[in-house]
Amino acid sequence: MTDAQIMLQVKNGDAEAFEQLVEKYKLPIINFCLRFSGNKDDAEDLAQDVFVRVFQAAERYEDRAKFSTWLYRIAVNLCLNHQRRKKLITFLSLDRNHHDSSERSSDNLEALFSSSTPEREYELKEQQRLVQQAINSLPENQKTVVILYRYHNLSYQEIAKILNISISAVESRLHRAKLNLKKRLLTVMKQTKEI
Amino acid sequence: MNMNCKHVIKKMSAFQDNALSTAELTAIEQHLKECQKCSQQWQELESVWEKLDTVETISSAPFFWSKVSRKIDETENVPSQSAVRILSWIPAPAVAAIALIIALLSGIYLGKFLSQHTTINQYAASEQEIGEWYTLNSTDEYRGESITDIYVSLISEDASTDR
Repeated sequence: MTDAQIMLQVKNGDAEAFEQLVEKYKLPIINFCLRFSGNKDDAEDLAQDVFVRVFQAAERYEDRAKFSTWLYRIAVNLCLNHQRRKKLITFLSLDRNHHDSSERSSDNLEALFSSSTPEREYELKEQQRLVQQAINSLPENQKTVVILYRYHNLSYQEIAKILNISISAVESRLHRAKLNLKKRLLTVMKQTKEI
Repeated sequence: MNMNCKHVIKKMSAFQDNALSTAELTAIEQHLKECQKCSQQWQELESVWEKLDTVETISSAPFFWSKVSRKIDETENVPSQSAVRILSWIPAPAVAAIALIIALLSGIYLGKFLSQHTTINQYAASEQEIGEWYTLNSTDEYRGESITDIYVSLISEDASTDR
């Protein structure tokens, strides 16, 4: 049975059918939310909200587009709203010493990479943090396209449909995102002699 | 097709994504073989792109369906979604301030109510007495006596009631 057929059953009130869809897409959606938020707890909460929204909107579902296109569109919208809300809370926060947990001074970064850190796992965690930080630093429109393209293997056409933009807009955003990521990550990679 | 460096750099992202025509792909490949500067740019882009694999990935999510199912049930039991949505737009400090004002006003009103109610209970018996003292029967007849006589008669009445 295709996703669209299952979704039409959900539209008719079949909750078990919905469970099938959730099991199929839970990890891609959780990981999408993780790339976007950079936080595991937020990612799982957001992913749950995505599926709740899908269930609530089931009555309005029509078999005009792929189910995954619709699903990712909901995920993108929820993640963008979450990100904007978080930025506003940070901006309004009375704690002037508030720092994003993924931010550190470049001095600390250099020390980290120049020190003879024994644990491979620690190095890996740091690399993950740096990469996530680089992704987080991208403007929203570039970040969305990079995540969908790089981590979900969606084509330019599929991304264009999800975001309701042209294919050339997808290409252009991806191009600028890569330049920004290169600028951000290259310095660190050269310091660690990875390139 | 000859490609200059500026054009190659501009198309490098699409080249990486295989999103060009065969002719363009071939031309860029040829240029990268011949141009060291562009070749270095290409290697850097490839390295950075590969680096993105380092991000954390979640590989399992136990009980995810039961959490989703519970959230769906919770949202279906909420009486007024629009009211909740409206309230969620009010910032938390404002909500706290409103709650505090309501609590203070409630406390003041309750205090006043309790104090009035206590006063009434305390004097309930004396009201009855007052009512008896000031009934028309006791005051509607003026006897024409002297003040001393009236005083003595009053004292005598008090003495008899005290017994």
